[in-house]
Amino acid sequence: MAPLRKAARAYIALVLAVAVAVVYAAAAVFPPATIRPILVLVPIYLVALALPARLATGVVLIANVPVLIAAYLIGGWQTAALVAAAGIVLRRGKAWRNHAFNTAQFVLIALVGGLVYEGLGGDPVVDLTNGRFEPSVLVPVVVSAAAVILANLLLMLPILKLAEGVSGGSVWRSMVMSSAIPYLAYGLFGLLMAVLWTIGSGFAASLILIPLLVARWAFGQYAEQRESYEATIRSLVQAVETKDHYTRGHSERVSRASVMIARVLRMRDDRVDALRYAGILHDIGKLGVPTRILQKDTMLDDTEFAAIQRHPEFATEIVRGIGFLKEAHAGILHHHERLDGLGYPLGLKGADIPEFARIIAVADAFDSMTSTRSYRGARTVGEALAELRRCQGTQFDAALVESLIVALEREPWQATQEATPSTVDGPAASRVGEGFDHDDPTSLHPRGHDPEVAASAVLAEVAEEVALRTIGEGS
Amino acid sequence: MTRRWSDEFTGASALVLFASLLVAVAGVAATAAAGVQQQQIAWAFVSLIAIGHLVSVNLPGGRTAAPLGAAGALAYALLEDFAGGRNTAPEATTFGVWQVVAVTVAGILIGTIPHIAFGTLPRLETIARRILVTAIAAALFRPLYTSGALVGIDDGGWELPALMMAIVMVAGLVDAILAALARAGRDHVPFDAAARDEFRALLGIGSAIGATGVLIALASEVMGYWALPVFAIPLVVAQFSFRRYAAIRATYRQTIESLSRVTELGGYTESGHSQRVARLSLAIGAEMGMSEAQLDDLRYAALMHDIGQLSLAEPIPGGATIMVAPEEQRRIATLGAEVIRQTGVLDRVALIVECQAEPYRRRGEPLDAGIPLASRIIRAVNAYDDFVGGSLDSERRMDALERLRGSMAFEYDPRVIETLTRVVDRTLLLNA
Repeated sequence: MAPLRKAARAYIALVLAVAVAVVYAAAAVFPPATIRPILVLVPIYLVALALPARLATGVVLIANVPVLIAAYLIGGWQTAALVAAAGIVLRRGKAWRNHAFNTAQFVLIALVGGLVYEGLGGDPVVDLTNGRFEPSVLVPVVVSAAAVILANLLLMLPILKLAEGVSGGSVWRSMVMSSAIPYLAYGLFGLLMAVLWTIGSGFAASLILIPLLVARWAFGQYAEQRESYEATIRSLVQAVETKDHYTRGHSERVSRASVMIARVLRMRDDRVDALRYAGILHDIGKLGVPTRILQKDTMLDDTEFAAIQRHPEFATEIVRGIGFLKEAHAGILHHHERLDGLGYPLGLKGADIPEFARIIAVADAFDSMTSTRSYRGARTVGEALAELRRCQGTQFDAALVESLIVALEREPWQATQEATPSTVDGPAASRVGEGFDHDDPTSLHPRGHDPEVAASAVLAEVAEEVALRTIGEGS
Repeated sequence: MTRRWSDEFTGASALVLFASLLVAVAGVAATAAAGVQQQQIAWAFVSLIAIGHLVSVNLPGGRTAAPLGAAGALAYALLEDFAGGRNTAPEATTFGVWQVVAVTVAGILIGTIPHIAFGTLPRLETIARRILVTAIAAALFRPLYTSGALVGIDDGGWELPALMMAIVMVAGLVDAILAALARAGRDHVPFDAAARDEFRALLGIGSAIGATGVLIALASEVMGYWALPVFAIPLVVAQFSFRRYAAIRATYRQTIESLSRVTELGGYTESGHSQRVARLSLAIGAEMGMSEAQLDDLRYAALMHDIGQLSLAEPIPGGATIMVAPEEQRRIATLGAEVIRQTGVLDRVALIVECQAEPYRRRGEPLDAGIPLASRIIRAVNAYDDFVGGSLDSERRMDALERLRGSMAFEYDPRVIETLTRVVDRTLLLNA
């Protein structure tokens, strides 16, 4: 981690100081009667703490929160704060500063949860006069659990902002969206623990760790699998790209630009995911195109050009078996359609072209123009955007081009973000040839401009005539 | 592997199905004859079990997880005192083993019927085992409880929870053994390999299910009906994240299967080659006692074993790697392994792909212990498929096996060839 800024260090010191004061106060008012729950809860807490789960969004979900909730339900905030403080013994290789901050943070959220619960009535979860569970505690339990999450978020926010430069909005989204419901569910686990404790069985209360840890494992597995999945698709696509040296890293960048557009459009998360994969996989069909043609440096004849144009169909053929990418299929198949119906493979027009395909088309053209080709240098982002603007309405969806522009204002384009030199250096990868780029709207189709072909709607690459004349090379 | 109805009715599975059918019918009949005791409680648990099965997850590999449903059934079997209205003392439960069976069957039926509409019906054998396991737990606990033998035991101590945990563990063990027997019969897996997988599952999700069942039963004493939703909500949430996990696993598999066809579209390999190699390799791996985790790696490695060919400028004629020189085979394997290793998460798979070009042994050299079994399997199956292709012609298959046997001592692992022969013989019989 980069050295912390002064403000961040001051913030950590402040949190630590408050936490120490809270622990001191808890120990001072501490009635000896609650020593037993502490003795039982601390080991349970440490086990839970030792096994964190990372969510897909990078948020760490720790099964310790239910134990803290149980602790304040059983013995008030003092018990909970002391149990949380015991976490200090479990450093597990983290830097002392981070570990101390985390522990202090848990002390404070235990305090907040306990105080909120007390403020809302703070009844014992089991009515001691008749040994009966009090359903009226459900609302305070859930509210206090929500307060715990909120406190956790508010305490983490400054540190993420100061130390890691993460924006508040994105943290809020990822934390609340991904973990609020699990945390509330965990609140109920805390309640159950407190109930089982109160009827006198510390053994039963500790049994609850088992389902808790298995649930935690399920959350973690999901995140892990998802990451493996992404990594796998990426590298397989890179393997494909070794065939066509122009497109090294292209799929990755098209995916990134597509997602940027989708974010501006405020697309739903699951659709963004599908679009991300569609972007990565959009050119995978080039595998079906003979390497000889892909790397050809002279004019393509009719059959060769037709072969290149089949790549969206090949790609769709390949990804057809991937169920969750349903919407992505159409995006991949039609990413070379044009609004004016002159694209391929079907020559769809305007709104008939699926949204994913329209987005990928914009991202695809943008990346082709801004990356280096053997026959020309990379164009600047400004030039590329001007070109996209000029082709909007005929080739590209104007709204999407605008969205890309908005997205690029928010977050500048990093064309060489991932310099992933492929280690695969087969003969194909090492043979550099000249060729024509089928994604670049300004690239000249080596066959020249044949109006008949354009009319038969197979020439997405042939951009506006003007572009051909001003930038076109080789004609 | 596709599921066929006939698979359900072989060997151990048939026995489990038959036994559970008997138990279920007896339970429902006995309960109907004697009348349902403590009806409200019974219906509450029917609902819990039904909801648990409604949100069940079909895991890749044919496992079904309905943790809440299974835990609900166990909880009902272990139920002791049940908190009633505000000012009444907890009520002792009076129902017996048969009512537990009847409630479980009713819950499973209600919760499973909607799955028929969605085509997500779990294996019959899984359901059958769940009924049997609940019946076993009930048979161990209900007589103890209703006879009053537990009266002296302090509710708040550790003894009662420990006794309940012991009972669910016994039931879980029986379940694991039955599941292993069924899988051994169905997939031609050696029993000990199947049992190892089942015991591993028992330690994980199985112990969580058992503990939850025990906890619901214990908490019911003070919480009454409230115990059910308060337990159900967090578990349903957990189950949904489990479902997302299952979905991403399935997607992963589909994706690798799809991307493995890339070499076919590129004209590098014959159509369907990777899929056939994967299917046959899995059958052999299972029969040779590989664990489920190892089989997963084997599947991925088999699907991607030819991915190194993508780096070739021109496809090998017919895509048959068997036709090229050993050095070239090794180079393709290494290139493929490089690609797979780049994922950063499939190192074991990469190793398998890398070693597929190594002969079983070299003349005058000792056996290389570092070559994974999976590599030896893929090596043999790949050669077999290169000879046979998709052909169903039995003569061509026998001929291919003959050729492999001819070079067996050095090129291919004799045990793999032996198993391959058995698997091929079996499919030939099926086709005949």
